[in-house]
Amino acid sequence: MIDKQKINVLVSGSSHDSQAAYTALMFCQAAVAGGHEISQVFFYQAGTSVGNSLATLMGDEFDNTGHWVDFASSNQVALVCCVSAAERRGIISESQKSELGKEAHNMHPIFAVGGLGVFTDASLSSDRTVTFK
Amino acid sequence: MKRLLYIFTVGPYSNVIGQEGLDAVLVGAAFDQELSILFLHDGVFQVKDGQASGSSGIKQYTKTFGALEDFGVEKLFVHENSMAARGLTTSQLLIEATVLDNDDVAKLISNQDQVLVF
Repeated sequence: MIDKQKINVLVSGSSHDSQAAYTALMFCQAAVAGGHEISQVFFYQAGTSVGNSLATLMGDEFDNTGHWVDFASSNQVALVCCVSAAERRGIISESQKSELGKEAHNMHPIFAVGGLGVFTDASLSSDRTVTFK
Repeated sequence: MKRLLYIFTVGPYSNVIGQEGLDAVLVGAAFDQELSILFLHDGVFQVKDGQASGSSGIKQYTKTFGALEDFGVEKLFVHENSMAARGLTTSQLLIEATVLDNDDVAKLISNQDQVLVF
């Protein structure tokens, strides 16, 4: 039996061009089921695409965003999208939309928008960081 | 103080992975922790000197690797086999880095509190 760990998760691979977000979700579900704590899931680089609520999947395809939203709401796990990486890729929250003067926003409201400092903070206060790229 | 290791595994200028990894290092440096950086696999190309990125459409961020000392990041490492496999020698790098063999890399990783891979 492994001691209870506080795990910080970094997802940097694209939602559908890589398996990163799916594997990270499976890992987080297993970690929570095993009694561990996920301190935060930080979506960085192409991983910010998980926050895009406009992604539209075929019926028999895996909806990463939807499954992450379900996981986060049933386990009270914070999902954070990196502000600069998300903006660079056009993943925009409602408040960023007004701030940046954009015409639309597409980030699912369950995602918080945060900087790399938020990630580094979570990393320093966790037992380990697990990266999915 | 915690030990953080940032590992760069892909080459520059065909994507922004290195640029965003470097951003993560620069933010980490502001937290006054013990930071190390390892360039592994194609990541060694991040610190090759003489890069002319003008035509790539990606800003020339790699020279900032050469200025990391100014940010208090002094522990820079390159993986020996990754360098050799790509025909690179330390004289072709824009940083002063310590060359690590496989065992040294394993030791470096196991000595860290947190490992971040880009």
